[in-house]
Amino acid sequence: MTSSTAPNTCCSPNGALYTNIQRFSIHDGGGIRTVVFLKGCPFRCPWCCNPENLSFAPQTVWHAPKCIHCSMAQDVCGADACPRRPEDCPTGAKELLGTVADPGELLGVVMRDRVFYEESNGGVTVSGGECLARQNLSFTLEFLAACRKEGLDTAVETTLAVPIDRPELLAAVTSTFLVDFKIADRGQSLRVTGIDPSLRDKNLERLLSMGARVVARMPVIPGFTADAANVRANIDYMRDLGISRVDVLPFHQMGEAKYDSIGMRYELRGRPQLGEGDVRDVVSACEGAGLRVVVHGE
Amino acid sequence: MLTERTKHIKESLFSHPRRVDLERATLLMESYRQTDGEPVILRRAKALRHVLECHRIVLDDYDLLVGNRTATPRAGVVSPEMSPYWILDELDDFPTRPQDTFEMSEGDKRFYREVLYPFWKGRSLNDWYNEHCPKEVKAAEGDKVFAVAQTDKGQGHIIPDYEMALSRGLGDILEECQARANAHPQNDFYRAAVICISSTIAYVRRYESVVRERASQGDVAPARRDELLRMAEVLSHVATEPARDLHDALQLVWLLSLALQHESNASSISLGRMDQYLWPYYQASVGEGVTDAQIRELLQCFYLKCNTVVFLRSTASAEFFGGFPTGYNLVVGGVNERGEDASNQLSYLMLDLQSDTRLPQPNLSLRIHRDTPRGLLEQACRIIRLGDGVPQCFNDEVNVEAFTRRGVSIEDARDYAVVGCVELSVPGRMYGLHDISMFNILKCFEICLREHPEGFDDFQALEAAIQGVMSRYVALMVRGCNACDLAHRAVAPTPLLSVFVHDSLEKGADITSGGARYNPSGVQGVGTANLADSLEVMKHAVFEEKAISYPELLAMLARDWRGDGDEAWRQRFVNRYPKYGNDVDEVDEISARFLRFYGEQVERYENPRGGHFQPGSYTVSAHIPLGRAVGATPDGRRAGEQLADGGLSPMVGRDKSGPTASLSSVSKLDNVLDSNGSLLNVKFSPSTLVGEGGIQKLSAYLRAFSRLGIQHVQFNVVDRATLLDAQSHPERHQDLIVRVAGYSAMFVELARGVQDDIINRTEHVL
Repeated sequence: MTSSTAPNTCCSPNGALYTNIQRFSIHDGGGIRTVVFLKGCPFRCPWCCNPENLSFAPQTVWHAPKCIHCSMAQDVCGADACPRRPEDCPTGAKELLGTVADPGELLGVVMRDRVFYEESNGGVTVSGGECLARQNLSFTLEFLAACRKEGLDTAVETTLAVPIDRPELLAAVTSTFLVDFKIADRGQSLRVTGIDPSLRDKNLERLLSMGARVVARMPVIPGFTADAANVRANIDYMRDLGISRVDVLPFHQMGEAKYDSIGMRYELRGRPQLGEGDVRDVVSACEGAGLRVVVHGE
Repeated sequence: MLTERTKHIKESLFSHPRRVDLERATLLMESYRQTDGEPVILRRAKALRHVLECHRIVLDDYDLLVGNRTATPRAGVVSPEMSPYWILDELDDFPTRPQDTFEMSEGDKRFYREVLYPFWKGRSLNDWYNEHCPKEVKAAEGDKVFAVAQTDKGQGHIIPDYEMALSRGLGDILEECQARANAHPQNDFYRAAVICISSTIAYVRRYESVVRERASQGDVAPARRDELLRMAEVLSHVATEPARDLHDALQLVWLLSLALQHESNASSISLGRMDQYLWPYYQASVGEGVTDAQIRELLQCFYLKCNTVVFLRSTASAEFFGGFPTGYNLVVGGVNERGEDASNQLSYLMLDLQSDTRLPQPNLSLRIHRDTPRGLLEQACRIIRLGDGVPQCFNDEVNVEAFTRRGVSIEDARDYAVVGCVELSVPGRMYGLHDISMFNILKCFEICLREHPEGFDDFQALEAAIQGVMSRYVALMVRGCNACDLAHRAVAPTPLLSVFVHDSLEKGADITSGGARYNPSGVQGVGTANLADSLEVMKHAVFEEKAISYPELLAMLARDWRGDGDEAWRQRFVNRYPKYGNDVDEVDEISARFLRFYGEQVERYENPRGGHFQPGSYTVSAHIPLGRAVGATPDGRRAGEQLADGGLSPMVGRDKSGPTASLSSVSKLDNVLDSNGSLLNVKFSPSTLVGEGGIQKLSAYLRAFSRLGIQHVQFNVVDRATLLDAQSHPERHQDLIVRVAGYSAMFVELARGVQDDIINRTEHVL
């Protein structure tokens, strides 16, 4: 369990890096989609399931179970100890995460599934990390514009709690905003995650006034967001803003192993996952408020 | 839901141990003893007559349809007339072999050794084949590139014209045979046809009298007596007359299919487009006031009947086709002869019945085209989601063209259906030897490397040399197939079947003598995924990067990656070079190039029936034994490890870019060439398909599949944990059905290797 953060020598004009392009994503904005995961996030949600996308810099990560100890003894293996460069590692145990995100190149990849988008009303989703963070924003705009030019449906998955100077540019290239509703209390949210819900709401109001389609995403995390009062407060915000769709996302542990690979501490290690039954109250509360709910997202 | 009646029937399927049944073999021998010296085709017809007259008919207290192949359901019928040898060798192994076990009594074993075996020894189809198969072909078979199939069993893989039987009735067909026989007294086929059809009519009447006799017995409840009398009336009618309604039609189809089984004892005498030819009879039943519930129950009875017949294979064959696939392929949907959507209410119902019966047969298929109604597609998706592996999906947008390019008329091509697993055939018009051989392309690659220790100047030279080896073996394979083709003509003609395959009656020739309208021979090219992955590694690592030399690589393969440092190389080859199935053009195109080359080689050759060879690409479960024949390969495969499953599927565990990328890779193949049929496996975790959203996404996936011009796709929807649990606790999963390859089987009845393969196929999960 080691990690090393290389200096950010990235020379992309936009500065954005991506870690993964996931084809056949089916819970991220409607239909069959390709999701581009951008690297880097200014916030630190303790339950984050994509910790590889927290740092804006390329990272060498270490997948210990994949190592076959080809270059040294078992007990000294590790990302720092291993003399191989990531590109020479035969198994991918040592991996450099963070590839310069080139809009044209990524467009070529997402276009490969065009037939699937057309048949399923799907498209492209940019996620992260925080895809609208300062370092990622200009890539996201350029990439979404290119997708739109090809007639693709576009979505972004974001906290929206970042400064956005010209939201009209973003609204013009984004079909759907998937917007996080996590900890409703501003003080608590700033303390735990760093997210400022009031900044989000300000951005949301401007985007909604431009006619943007917004789907709220509410992760249900015991001890952080799952309590009835927080859920209630989130729902009230959604209603005040005029949002009618919410994805309820039960807590899961699919990111657990990634913390090991990056060598990061994970506060929620070993906590039980939630099933659909565990979020029934949250779903009822949302439905009771007239929201259309999809568990896990669609 | 099953009714009380059909629940009883389903339980009875599994209430007897599966056993080896010698009745047919014995009756055949009795008849052959009487007909020495007569023309073969007449001997075969008379032998069929003897079986139909004498085999034991069994009646239960529930069923609405009659017709039993064997006295107990799911018994294994041996065919020593095709080959007595493997049966003798394996007599003691039937109860204990790894795949498809059967009980066999000591008395039966003795009878086989002392009576049946000595009678058929030296005069079976297998003897004829061995005498006439060229020496070079035999030697080549030893190289394990190909193995000619059906040299020890019936040919099957055909769809009789059931529509003709239903609309004309057996009486009218008999009249035609009789008239032709009178006009051509020298034609033995016509004389045989008369014997066969009149025996089939008598066979139907035998059932009628058994049913009537039962109805007359005092211990029969009044309600059952009424049913029996109604069944007797149906039998009395369909013995000679056209069907009037659905009950008539299902009864006649089943008894005719049984008579055909008694004649051939072959895998895959398939059902064809049942929603099409049953449609008028379904409408008539509805018109008579038969309720939906009654219709559903009748169809359930028919579906359950399809599970009473299993096919007994040799141990080697069972490894290639594990899980008793009998091949009651039943197709719904697709276009009509004018290219318009042909679906009807029966298409929906025949898919939905799977949710009642939950058994491997009939093997349901849906034909998809651009105008397939949304509702039908969604219905199919709901059935796929049950996890039984059906329906498998076929794509009219490529399969119709595949046939027209082979000279099939557009109307006949639009009427295609499915036999065996995924083989495409034209119902009632094609005798296609669809499963006559598999061709191990990866083995050709291995032989090529071995023949060239000096290496190659460049990558193109390597590819050309592999193609040279392929051409050499294709030429040998077709000679073996043609010897087998002629063996069936010489020893095992099928006059009853031929009556129901046009244009045999017009031509006056049995199908084995070229009577059918279309006469291809289908040979499957297997192993292109592993070959492409291997060549991609060599192209870069050996020829471009020069990271490893050709002799070093060969040495590593020869020692199966066991040398010092080999594992790092193997991992590098597995992980650091693109693999087929991930939508990477360069490697996908290698696969396409070799599959195309194989197809172009194959189609140059003719068979003795005036037809041409045509390529297919499916493995059934043969990727396991075919893999065992090949040493380590540069794609990181270990010696003896399985090949990629399916035929078109990527190698297990190597497709890491999701199910859209794998479809995209497959779409780059020249799929229209594979007119014999090809196979693609896709596995989804159940969680991917939950809810209405899951149905919508699977429907979209299938529409995209159709637009991408891929011939076939089938799904396993069952999670890994369930399969692992079924391996350790088979008793808890007696009802678990999985897709093997072009057919489904009970998971617990599969050998460990096949089970492992299904577990390891990449599961697309989100």
